[in-house]
Amino acid sequence: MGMLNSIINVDLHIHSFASKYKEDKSVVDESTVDNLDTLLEKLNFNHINLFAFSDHNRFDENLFWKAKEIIDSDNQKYPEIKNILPSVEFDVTFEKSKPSCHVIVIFDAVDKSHTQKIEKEILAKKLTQKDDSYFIDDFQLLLSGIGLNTLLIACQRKGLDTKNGGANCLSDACDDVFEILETGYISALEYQKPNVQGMIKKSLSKFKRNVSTIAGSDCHQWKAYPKHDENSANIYRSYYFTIKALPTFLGLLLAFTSPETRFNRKELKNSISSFSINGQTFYLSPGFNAIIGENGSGKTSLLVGISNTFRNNETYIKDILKRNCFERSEEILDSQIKTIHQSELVVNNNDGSVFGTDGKFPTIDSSQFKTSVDAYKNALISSIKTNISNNVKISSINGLEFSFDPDLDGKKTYFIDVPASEPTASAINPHEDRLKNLNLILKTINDELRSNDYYSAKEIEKLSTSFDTIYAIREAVKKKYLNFNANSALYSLISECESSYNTRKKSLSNDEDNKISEYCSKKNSFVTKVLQAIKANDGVELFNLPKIDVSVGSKEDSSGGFTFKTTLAYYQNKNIELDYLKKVFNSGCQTIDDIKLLKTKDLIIHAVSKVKGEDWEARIGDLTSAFLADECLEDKEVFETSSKDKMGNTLGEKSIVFYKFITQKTGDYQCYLIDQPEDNVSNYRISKYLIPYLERLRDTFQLIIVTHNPLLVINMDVDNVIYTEKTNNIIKVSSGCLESPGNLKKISDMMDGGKDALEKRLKIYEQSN
Amino acid sequence: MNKVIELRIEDNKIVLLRDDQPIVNIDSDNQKIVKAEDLLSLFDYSYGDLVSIKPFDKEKYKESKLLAPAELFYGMLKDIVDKVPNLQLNDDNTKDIVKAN
Repeated sequence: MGMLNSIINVDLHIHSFASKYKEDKSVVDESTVDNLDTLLEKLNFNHINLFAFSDHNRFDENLFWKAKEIIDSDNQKYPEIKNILPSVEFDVTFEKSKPSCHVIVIFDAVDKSHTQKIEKEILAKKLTQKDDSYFIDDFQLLLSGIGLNTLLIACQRKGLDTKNGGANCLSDACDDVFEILETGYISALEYQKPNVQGMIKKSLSKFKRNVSTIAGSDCHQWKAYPKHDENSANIYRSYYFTIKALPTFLGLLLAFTSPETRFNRKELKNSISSFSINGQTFYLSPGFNAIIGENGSGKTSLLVGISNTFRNNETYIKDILKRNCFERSEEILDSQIKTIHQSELVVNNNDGSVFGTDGKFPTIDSSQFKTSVDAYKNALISSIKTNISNNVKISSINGLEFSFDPDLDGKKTYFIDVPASEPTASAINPHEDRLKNLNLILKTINDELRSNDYYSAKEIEKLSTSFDTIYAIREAVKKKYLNFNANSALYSLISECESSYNTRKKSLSNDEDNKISEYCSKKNSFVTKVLQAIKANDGVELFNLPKIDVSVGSKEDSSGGFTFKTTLAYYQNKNIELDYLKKVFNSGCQTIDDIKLLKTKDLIIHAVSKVKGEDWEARIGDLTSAFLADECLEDKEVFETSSKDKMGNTLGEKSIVFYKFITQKTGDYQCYLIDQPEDNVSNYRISKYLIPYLERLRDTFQLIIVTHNPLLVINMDVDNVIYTEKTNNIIKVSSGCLESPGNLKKISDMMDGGKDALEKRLKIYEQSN
Repeated sequence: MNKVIELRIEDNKIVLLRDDQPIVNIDSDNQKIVKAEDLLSLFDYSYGDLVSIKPFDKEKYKESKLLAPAELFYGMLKDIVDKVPNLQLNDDNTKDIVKAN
């Protein structure tokens, strides 16, 4: 079973008697192996968990192993001290014309053969004068001779672009300090005063690479620890740095290559501490945990078990967990755990509820738009029908003849002539739309009146008065509407009675009467048709259609620092009338000028899209409904209220906003469990958005994810990797931090792209070796 | 309001009255045409109003040469008046909305 890392205090800059040759004073005279307990007591008292002797150009192997023996002994005499790393502070000349620089080298030595090599190689190339230094090429040969992995920490006692003050600094040792840092040759810069750290960070602010800055005590006289010596007054100095890592060379390496995830960490108090499976207990990091493994290895089962939230179709997971004797510690309530199951976002996206009940998109009342489209449609149909009717009237006089008969003209009968009436002018009641609109207004006011827990008494009164006013108008319009209907019906009735009257009249009349009557009827019909044609062509403008109102169609609501915006398709469409005509009519007849030319029913039937039979009006009604459906489609956007940075509408983009949104809902959840957050998110967005978002959470919430993506494991620098395997339904688990022995290799071997991600992450480290 | 129409023959003219006011004079010396629009305005129909027609006194005008044409025209008017109450009016869209309390 691997180990979890923790927050440790580190001092990699302690001298011993081995540095004596460089010191004028006797400050290191008592810093010998015989007085080791003096130092260890001080380190233990000051909660230093990892330290290193970094003597000037010397390595005291005996001192190193003696210290390690005490630390590793079972009696736990100094429980705070976890480990010691072999180290040397070298004087290195980078450029011949420049002063030398102090470079602390930490060696990855695991046994005595390694430390013997360090001591042997240094003795072989030993510097004897206190002002001597290794030229960079010799220094590199020396390190190559030792042949161990190393971390290099350069001394920097002032800002990188400051020339005065502070000796032995990297920035004084070379012309372009940034060029050296760019190569990754130097893993960290060591400062002594807090304000110097600020100056260095300011100098690095425009530098692409994130360089670690660390502090060390530079203690020479152990009994004065953490001071340099008993005569120092430098109590203001920083003497250690804090990282979250195992107290090992690899822990230090991962901290230096990812300072943003390893430095300045804090431990969460509220988190799920552990789970047990098949009799073994596994501890969870209070920070970021990643469950990895092959497909079908039990990752999701483990996540669901930890979350204790089973969906309907997950009874098989319950069975698997039961069979594997799974249990979870109970430090936090289930209600403090937010679980996002695999595919949950896909499913929610399909039904339009990615943000579920947590983020609400506003609904938009499109009735104003719909009413105006309806009015436009009615006016259009009315104009078309009038256009056709006028054309019939005008066409009806083409070839119309009437023969004047002087024998019959002016003659009379005693019978009253009642000529057959013209067909009813229009079946459309001109008051119908007005009546519907007024009824809609009344219904709307009525609905608002029913919401009386929302409005004040005064507002209710005003609404009530408005209702009464509109109601009175509605009654007047209703009367006109009913009269129109009644007159239409009466007109039909009269026509029917006229017909029967004329039949009877004919039977009662003599031949002369009938001739006179027929002549009068023809003359009357001729005159009427000519008059109607003149009237139809009197220049009254048709197709003077109302505008479609697209002004109400977008709304925003804010929640949890995010703005949820709904916009309907028609909103502020400047060509909405043209779009409507395109929807209703076939190509070639999609402008009002085209439609004005459609003066017969046949032409209209061919012009309206896919008319069945002859009912072009009903088809326009159907096409209008389809147009309304298209134009009322909702477009939903989410963006951060503060930045207005829109995140787009793909599921991947929404997913990222969702994670950001859900995790910014403070106070509700202590732990987030996410099954494959990388689903539907491109690697680019994982790096640019998802990782930075999750980064912010690691010290605020406990995170447990299932992932196949090595970027999330390596670049996120997860605190704990839980590796699952399953054979015959028995889940085997191992876990530990990245630097836990064997874990990096496991990730590299197991995850697709894991080797690449590791190489990129550790590029600096590899380049320096 | 109820309306009453009546057909008389006066001074060799067929006279049509509504509520005792003559509204159409049909002079026997001139050819007269009564159009559907004229009849509509005669009824001046207002929704809900009742229209009735006084009986035509044939005996009174038996000597008049206008009797037959007048009687025929009366028959048509009566036919219309009798059928008016049976008109089916479409009032589906006139449902009242009662104010919420």
